[in-house]
Amino acid sequence: MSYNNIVVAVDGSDASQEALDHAVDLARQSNASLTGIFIIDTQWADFIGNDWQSAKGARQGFLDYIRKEQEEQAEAAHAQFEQATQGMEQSCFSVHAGDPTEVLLAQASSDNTGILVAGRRVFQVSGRPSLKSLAATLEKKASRPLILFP
Amino acid sequence: MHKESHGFFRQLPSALPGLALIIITMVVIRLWVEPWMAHTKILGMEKPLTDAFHLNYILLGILCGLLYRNVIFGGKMPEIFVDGFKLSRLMIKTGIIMLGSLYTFSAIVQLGSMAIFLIGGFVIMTIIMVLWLGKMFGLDRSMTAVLANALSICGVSAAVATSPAVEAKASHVAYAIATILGFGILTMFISPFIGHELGLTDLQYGAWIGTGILNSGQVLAAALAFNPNVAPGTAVSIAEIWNIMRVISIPFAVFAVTIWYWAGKEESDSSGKKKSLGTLLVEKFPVFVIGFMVMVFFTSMGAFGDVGIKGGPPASETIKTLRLVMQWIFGFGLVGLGGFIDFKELRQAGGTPLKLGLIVGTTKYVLALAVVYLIKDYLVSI
Amino acid sequence: MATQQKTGSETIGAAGPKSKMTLFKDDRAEDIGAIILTVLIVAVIVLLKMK
Repeated sequence: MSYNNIVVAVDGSDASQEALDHAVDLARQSNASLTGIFIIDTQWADFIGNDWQSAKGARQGFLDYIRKEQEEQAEAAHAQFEQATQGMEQSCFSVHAGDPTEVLLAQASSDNTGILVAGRRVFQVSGRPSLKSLAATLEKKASRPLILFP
Repeated sequence: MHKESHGFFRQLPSALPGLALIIITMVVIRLWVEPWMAHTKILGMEKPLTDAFHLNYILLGILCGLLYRNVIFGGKMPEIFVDGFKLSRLMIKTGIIMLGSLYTFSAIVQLGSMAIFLIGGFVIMTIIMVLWLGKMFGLDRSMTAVLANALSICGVSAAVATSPAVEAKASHVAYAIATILGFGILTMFISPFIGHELGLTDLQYGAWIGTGILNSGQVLAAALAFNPNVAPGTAVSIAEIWNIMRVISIPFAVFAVTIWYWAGKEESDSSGKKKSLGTLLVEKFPVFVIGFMVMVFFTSMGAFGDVGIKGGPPASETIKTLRLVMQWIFGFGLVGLGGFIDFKELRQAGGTPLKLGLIVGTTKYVLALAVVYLIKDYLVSI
Repeated sequence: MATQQKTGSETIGAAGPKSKMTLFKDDRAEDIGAIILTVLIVAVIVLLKMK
C-alpha cells in the first residue's frame, strides 16, 4: 500500500523512536513525503486552574518554566527527526501548539494525512496525566489510517 | 486606574458568556434549588438533601461547575466560556479581601497565632515525613522537594511555586498536582459530613480543615459547605485565616526547600538559579493579602459600624449587606473553580506521587482532626 | 501546513501564544484588580446604606 503523506508524532524521547523509524521506512518505500510533528501543550494553565491564591511570579513563573521545558523538548524532537530522515528529500518537521490529544486527532482525521504513525506513549515525556489516554482516543476517533507502536 | 487595566477591559467582553453562565447557575441554585431542598421530602425523609448530605449552595455550585466541564461539555470547557471561568479567581480574591470585614485586629492576632502554631507544627511534621518517605520510595530530590511543599503548605499553589526552583520535570509535577487535587476534592466533600457527625464547632472545624486539607480552593469550599454563613466566628472566617497564613508562608517554604535541594546537588553552578529570600518574598507575596489587612484595619476603626461579635451589639446594615454580597461572590467563584476540576486528569494520577501523597495527606488529615479534638477546651475559650 | 519540503526545513507553525491563567496582565495585576473591585463594592454599599 502506498501513501502520499505520512505524518509521525515525534517527542524527542525513546517513546517515539520506533514509530519514527517505521514511518521513515514507509516513506522511503512508497516515496511519500514525511511530516514529523511535535505539539506544545498549552493546557497547563487550565490544568492548574483550580489554584487561586498564588502570587505573581509563582503561577506565571511556573507556566513559563513548563513552556521552556516543552520548547526544549520540541528541539529534541526536531533533532531526533532530522537524524532519522537524513538524506530524505520530502520531509518536514512542524511544531504545533494546543491540546496534544486534540491536535493529533485532527491530524489523524485530516484529508492531507495519508497515514498517522505514533508511539502509544508519545508526548507523555512532558505531559499531563490525561495524555496517557491519547493513543486510546486516536484509536477510537481517528478517521484516517493509523499505526500505533507500543 | 492601574496601567494593566487596558488588557483586562479589552478582554472583558469575551468573558461575558462564561460569566453569565456562572451567575445564572448561582442564581438558580440560591433562589430555587435551595428553597426546594429545604422543604422537600424524599422517601418519607424530611429535607434529606440538606440534613443527611449537607448540600448547600456552595457544594451545589462546585458540583455544577464540575458537571459542566466533565459531563455536559464532555471533558473540556467550550472556548466561549473559557475567559469567563478565568474570572473565578478574581471573584474569590475579592471575596477574601471583603472577608477582612469580619475581624478586628485583636481577633486576627489571636486566630493568627493559633494558626501559626498549628500550621507550623504540621508543616515540620509533614516535611520530615515526605523527606523520609521520599528516600524510602527512591523518589528523586526535585520531586521530593515539590511534594514536601505541596503536602505541607498549600497544595497546588506550593507545588507551582516550588517546581521551577528545584528543576522538577513537567510530567512529574503533573502527577503531584493530580494527586493533590484528587485528595483535596475528596476531602472537600467528606469534611462537612464528618464535621457535622462529630458535632465540631465552627472554630474546631475551621482549624481542622485549614490544617488538614491540602489545597486552598478546597479549604474555602469545605468551610462554606460546613456553614454557609459569613460572620465572625463561622467556619469560613476561621479557615481563611489559616489559608492566609499558609499563603504568606509559601516564599519561606520555597526558600527552605530550595536550599535543601541545592545542598544535596554535586554541581556547583547553582548560584545563578538560587534566589534569595528577599527576591522570593517580592516575587511571590500575594498582594491581595494587603487588601485584606487594610479591610481589617477599617473594620477595627469602626468604618462600617458594629461587626456583630457574640454578646456585643448586632451587626450594622452595611456589614450585613457586605456579608450577603460575599456569599454571592464566593458562590460565583466556586462555580468557576468547579469548572477547573478535570476528571480525565485525576483518573490518570498514579505512581509514587500518589502513594506518597495519600499516605502523608491522610495522616495529616486524621492527625489534624485529633489535635482540634484534643485542644477543644482551649479552642472554645477564644 | 506545508508538506513538500527538503530535509532540514525550518520548524513551521508558530508555537502559539503563551498560556495565561488570568485576563489580567499577571497575577499581581489580578490582585490589584480584586482590591479595586472591593473598593467599588464597599463604596456602593456604604453610599446606599447612608441614605
